[in-house]
Amino acid sequence: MMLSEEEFGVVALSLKVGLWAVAVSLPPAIAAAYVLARKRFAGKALLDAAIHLPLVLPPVVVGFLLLELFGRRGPIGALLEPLGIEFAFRWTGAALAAAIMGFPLMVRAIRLSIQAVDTRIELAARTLGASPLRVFLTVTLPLAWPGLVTGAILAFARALGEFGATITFVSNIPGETQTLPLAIYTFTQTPGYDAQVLRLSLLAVALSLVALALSEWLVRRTGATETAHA
Amino acid sequence: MRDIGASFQLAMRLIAGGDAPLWSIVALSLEVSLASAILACLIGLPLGALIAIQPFRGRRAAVVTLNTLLGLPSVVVGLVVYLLLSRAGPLGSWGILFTPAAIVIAQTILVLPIVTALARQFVEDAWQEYRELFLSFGVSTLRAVCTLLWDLRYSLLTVVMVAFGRAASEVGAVMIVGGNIDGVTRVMTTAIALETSKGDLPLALALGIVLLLVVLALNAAAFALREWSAKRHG
Amino acid sequence: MLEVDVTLTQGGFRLDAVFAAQAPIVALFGRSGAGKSTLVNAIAGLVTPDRGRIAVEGRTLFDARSGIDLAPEDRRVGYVFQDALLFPHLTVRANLAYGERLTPPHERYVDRARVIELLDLQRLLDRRPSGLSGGERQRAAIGRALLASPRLLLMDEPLASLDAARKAEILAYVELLRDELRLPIVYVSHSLEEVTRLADHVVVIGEGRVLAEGALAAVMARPDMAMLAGRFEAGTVIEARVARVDEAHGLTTLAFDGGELVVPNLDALPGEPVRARVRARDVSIALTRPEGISIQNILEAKVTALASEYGAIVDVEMSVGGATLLARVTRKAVAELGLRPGLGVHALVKAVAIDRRSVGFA
Repeated sequence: MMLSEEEFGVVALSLKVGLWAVAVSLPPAIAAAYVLARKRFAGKALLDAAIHLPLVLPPVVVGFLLLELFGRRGPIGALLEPLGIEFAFRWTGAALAAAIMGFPLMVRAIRLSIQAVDTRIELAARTLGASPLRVFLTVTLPLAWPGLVTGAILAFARALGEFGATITFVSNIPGETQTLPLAIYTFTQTPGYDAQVLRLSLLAVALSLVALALSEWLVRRTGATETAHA
Repeated sequence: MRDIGASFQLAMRLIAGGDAPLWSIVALSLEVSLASAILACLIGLPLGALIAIQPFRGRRAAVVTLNTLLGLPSVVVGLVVYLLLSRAGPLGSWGILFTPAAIVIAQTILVLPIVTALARQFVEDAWQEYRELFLSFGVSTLRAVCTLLWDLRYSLLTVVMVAFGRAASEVGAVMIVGGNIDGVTRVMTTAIALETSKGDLPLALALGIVLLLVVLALNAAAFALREWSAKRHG
Repeated sequence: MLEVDVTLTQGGFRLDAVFAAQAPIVALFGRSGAGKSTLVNAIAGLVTPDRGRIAVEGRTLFDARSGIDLAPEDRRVGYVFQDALLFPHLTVRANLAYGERLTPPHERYVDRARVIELLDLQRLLDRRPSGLSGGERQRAAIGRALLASPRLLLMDEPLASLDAARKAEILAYVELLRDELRLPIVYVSHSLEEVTRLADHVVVIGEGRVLAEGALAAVMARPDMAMLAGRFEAGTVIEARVARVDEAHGLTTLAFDGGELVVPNLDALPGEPVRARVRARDVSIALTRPEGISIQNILEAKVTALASEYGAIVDVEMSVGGATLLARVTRKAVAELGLRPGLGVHALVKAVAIDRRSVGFA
């Protein structure tokens, strides 16, 4: 079952988009999770709701909003264009869509694991001379890392399957924004591509299963509690 | 920005003016999504309850299958349904590919794992409380399941709403099995994708607003229902 | 020298504490919920008082009026918690090093080898906290706090979650710390036994304020303090010195202002100052000196007061020379013997009642 060059390109693009999406959203996700887990402030509920918006909204709506904001004529898009950062009709846009859709999953998983860290242990570290930042880096994060990995895997799996927001935001451009799910869809519309469709789908299934298995194993191994499972 | 302002005005006019094509798309969306939600709940609610209460042969297999379905990209699910319903496939004789029926099937399969998971969660929590009671009275599993589901009816109603919202938001699988045929299988989500790719913003915007309102209304209703039943039942 | 003057409200609870202490170990004594932990957390900087001032050795940690409020990591106050709170993801060795590494080299005065030896941590160094027993964890926690070279060590009920055998073991270590390291320690406890063994200066906290403070014997002799120790534990503390040791019978004689007390063998040398806690329920009264009785301690005393009557029981306060003893007897006995203030009597104390756990070395 060898992949044609075209198919290989699709898979490579999907992986690139997924990895970049996770890598770029990880630091803000950690920050958001920490703030939601440990701090109390006015507007916290609002922040929580805003972060969970991509889960609630239909993906096409998210894609549409991204188009309006980050497209060539959108407010943020116009700002970033002179800096050389373009999202419209480029793989970066696909990565952005994937990142946004996976963000709430990541924040949820990380927040749960941060909340599970005993605050008194953090206080103990303060009495030993550690600043709050040092406590976060040397005590909180190491103890919360299962949640980080789980969150990253969940977001990655989500990114691999992302369809609605991607096709609405950056369209279906082969080689640039045609990720695996979009390619599968395109090939079903084109007669004669059945073999490809099958191969790509099997690949998509395989990748999701691997991601799922990994996160299941992690959950069992560390007793972390966040999964989106039945 | 002037662009979107004008489009927005046009969109509002479409909505307020009862534009026929717009509302037929909306109506179709609501019909199919409601059908899938109900179907998924009919299967998933008892299944979830059963998984929560009783270890049965094949339980692990069921859980693993559902988890897998949950994690799969929706296009893959759509593809599987497509292959089953296509003329060359096993269920091709039904001839329902590219019809609303196909959409209902695909959406039901997609929404089923979520329904089961939520049902399981709710029932598990309630089971903690009632377990001793049922055991000491020697109540049969079937009775237990029915009693619990009735007791949890408000929570389960929210599950129906969540399922509806999720079904109405689906686009990938619907595109594949429905074909996005004008007037037949074009729902809100697929229409939005189509119109934005054509660059036709007003219709897409109008549809988007309606879809958004539907989903937000559902979530708000589910939230309110949860709060109300919590206050009533503690 | 520890100076504390703070007011703190937390939830519905208000703490108003003022005291100053010079001794090597200051005990914060009181019932659960009295505010001791809150006070200690304020000294550590983990909670902020509403007003007041906290200073250690002249160094101000908190002063509401001048706006000084040092962050916990800047206070150099070590803290040993009730449940150790070791870092679960680090070995004992790494736990010990955590605070040490954060202390500037010129401020480090604690010798790591010495602490490891003192607390017997050698065998535990490469283990994880999850694999340690309660006593081992507590020792590691003490070591970790010490290695950060603190200027003051806070210990919040460090023995509370340990069983009796572990308690005795760690108590011995704390005594060792006090004697070897000359580090000021604030020791929080609701156990009179621990306080007697360890503390020179005690601050009694109750209902959110300081009820009494001073040298241990003096505070414990106060009649209102007797109630605070709880019915079962009511008694007095006698300051004495080891007079001689009877090797043949395994007995030690303690001399105090008022007489001598014979106790089962202490591991002590003549001349050593000690504090002996005598529970009221272990003291009897006789009008005349009894003959042919097993009780070894028969002391001349004078009744000073009939304190706390409850039901059938009366606590009789007596002066024995300069010291005070409390005897718990029945009201009937008081009537039968005609006990009243001013009466000369004999106080009888069973030697075996003053065991090792009731004696502290000053």
